[in-house]
Amino acid sequence: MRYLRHLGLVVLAVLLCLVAAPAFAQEEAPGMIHNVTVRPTPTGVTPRTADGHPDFTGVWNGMADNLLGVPNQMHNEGIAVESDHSTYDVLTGAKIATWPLAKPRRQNGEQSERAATLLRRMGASRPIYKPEYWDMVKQFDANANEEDPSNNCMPAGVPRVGSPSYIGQFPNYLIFIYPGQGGLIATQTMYRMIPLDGRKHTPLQDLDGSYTGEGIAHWDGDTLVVDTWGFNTATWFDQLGGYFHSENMHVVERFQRNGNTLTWTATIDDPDVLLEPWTTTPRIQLLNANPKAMLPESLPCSERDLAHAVTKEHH
Amino acid sequence: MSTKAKLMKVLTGAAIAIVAFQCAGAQSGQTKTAANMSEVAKAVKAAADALGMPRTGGPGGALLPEIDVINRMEILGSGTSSVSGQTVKTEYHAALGYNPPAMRLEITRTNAGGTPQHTIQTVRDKYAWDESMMGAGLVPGKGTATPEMTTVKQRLLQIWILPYGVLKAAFAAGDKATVSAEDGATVLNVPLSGELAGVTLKATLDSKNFITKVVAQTGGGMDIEADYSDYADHGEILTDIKSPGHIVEKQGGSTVLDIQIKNWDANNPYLVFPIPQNVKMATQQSSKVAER
Amino acid sequence: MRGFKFKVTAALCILSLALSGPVSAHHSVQSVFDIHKTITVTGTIAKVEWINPHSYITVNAKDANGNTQKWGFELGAQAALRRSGLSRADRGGIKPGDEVTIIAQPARDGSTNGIMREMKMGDGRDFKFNYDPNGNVADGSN
Repeated sequence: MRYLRHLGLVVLAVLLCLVAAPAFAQEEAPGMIHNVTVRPTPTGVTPRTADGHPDFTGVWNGMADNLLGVPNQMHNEGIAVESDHSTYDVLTGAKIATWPLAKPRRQNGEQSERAATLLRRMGASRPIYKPEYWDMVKQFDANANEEDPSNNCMPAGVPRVGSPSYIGQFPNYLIFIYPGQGGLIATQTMYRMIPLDGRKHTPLQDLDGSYTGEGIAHWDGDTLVVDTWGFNTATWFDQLGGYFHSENMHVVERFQRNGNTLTWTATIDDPDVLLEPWTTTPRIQLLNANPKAMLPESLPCSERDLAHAVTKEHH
Repeated sequence: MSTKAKLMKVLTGAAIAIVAFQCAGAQSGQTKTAANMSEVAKAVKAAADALGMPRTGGPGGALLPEIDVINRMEILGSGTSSVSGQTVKTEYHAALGYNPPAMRLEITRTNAGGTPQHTIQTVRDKYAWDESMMGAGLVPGKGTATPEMTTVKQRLLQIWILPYGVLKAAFAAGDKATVSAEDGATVLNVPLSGELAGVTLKATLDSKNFITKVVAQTGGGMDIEADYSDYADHGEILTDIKSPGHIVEKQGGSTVLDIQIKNWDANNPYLVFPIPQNVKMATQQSSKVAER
Repeated sequence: MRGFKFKVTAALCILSLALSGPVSAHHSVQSVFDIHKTITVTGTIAKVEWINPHSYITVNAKDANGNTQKWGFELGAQAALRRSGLSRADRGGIKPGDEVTIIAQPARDGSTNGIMREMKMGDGRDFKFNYDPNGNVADGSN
């Protein structure tokens, strides 16, 4: 009898939490101190289409949209917080000093923002520009409130937008949907319709530059490869840092699915401005835990604060 | 078993698994909370807190542990430096990073009535070279990179004698770092490793836990001392990282550098230190920590 | 028993936090607003916009000389508003024409803008916003 009542309380707690998650999130229960930026290990089987390829179809926002929240942003930066006393850099393997938080820290907005800015910029992996552009990248970054081309709700472009929140995989094409975000970079919704039918690229000089370029997909074993060129210069190529590029930028994205986990990398090749190609850290997304989840509408984007910024502080 | 009972069983199992995971996490956290840190760990944390190095964040509040956020920094200052007994007006510009360890030091010295003498001295991992211009030797036809492999250790030391370097090295040294009291002040003793194995840093803390003096005991060579004062956030973009406003460096007791800081950007600006191909190919010569 | 229930709730809340989508906008709140000050403005709601990245409520208020000023008050997007306790019915119950008194953190450049911290409606309803538009706990401490 006591066991059943105990069980009932547990179930009640589970259900209450799922229903009222945002309200409960304000509680400072001891278990909430610990947070990590390494992704959970994959679970579940990888479905395959009739022709034997992995099926990437799904709503891939199980860890919220990939640019949102400090833990996701640190993960994108290659900083792996394994536990409350162990952090390492994914690129160099360097161990980073970590101290457990004895109790939840209440920071005011300014402290929180300044900490977040540092946490999401501390990784070792950086694209190597030609020396003549080093100062330019640094200045674009420092003056991002004015210089970031995605300010005022312009598209983030590829690959800055990261991995899509929805993938629809069809025999001859893919649909990628990236909801607009009030996130790290306030952006409008983007979509891409990418052929998977073996066609070849249009010659670069015949393409008008666009935000998402001309993307063409093919299979490399179980890896889905999307090869894109034909970009305009009105984007930066990663979440932070002033990473401008030329019209000749060439991006190769690689998608791998393992059960409920999607791993995405992008390699940026732009010999006009970079000394060598740069590959992002692998970024991992989870399938939405609810198999019946639909992609929600993203709110319209409207930026009104930048005109009133009096310092250069930004993300 | 009824559907309802099966459902209860599954939910309980899931809940218990999650709780067990959380309990395990809580357990390991408790072993290293402030209450039972060693004396040296407490001193390191206090000094790191003074500088604003450990930071936390997370959705809606602070859920992550505190993490050392320092990596890339850029420093601009002016003052004097002494070379071969002569003290001259000096402009100081340093770009550095800790992950990977690297520094590019650009110094412009002007003697009275003389032409400015401009040098760029770079170190990265275990390579050192001079650049005829910023980023020399990376693009054909754009500047010359001259390998200076005997200077690797002395150039690396410049990164680790900064207050942030001392504390990073102390955390890495774990049990091998010690703390003592001298003349009423807390002193951290930190043995370095890797390229600088054999060098010990002695860092003195003031009453607010700022590092005011670092002495590098190079074991055989001259001691190198750096004095730090006027701590504040000297960044153009504020980060709540505190940096010194005044640096004095001495070698073997003589002042070699005395600069006032104009700017200290600690917001991880874009700074890169790619190694030129001809430097990678240079023969690794034996390298001393303190020359001349 | 009580500790056990809280641990379960807390554990599952961490997962569900991911689903509710924490917000962190691209500019810093403190580069635009003075988070260490508050001002009080009384007037009539002119416009209500629940949008991205920040929601806005525009209020017409009279200045010292009796002239009408337009004030733009910023709040979080929907997830942040829910965390502050504003339900869908609450949002629908805030309309142009409603009388309000707003406590806000003002814009640093002197423009008639602010981050809303509290909104007291003419009919007695009182909404407090504990999270700033970037999803940070906005208790104004320090």
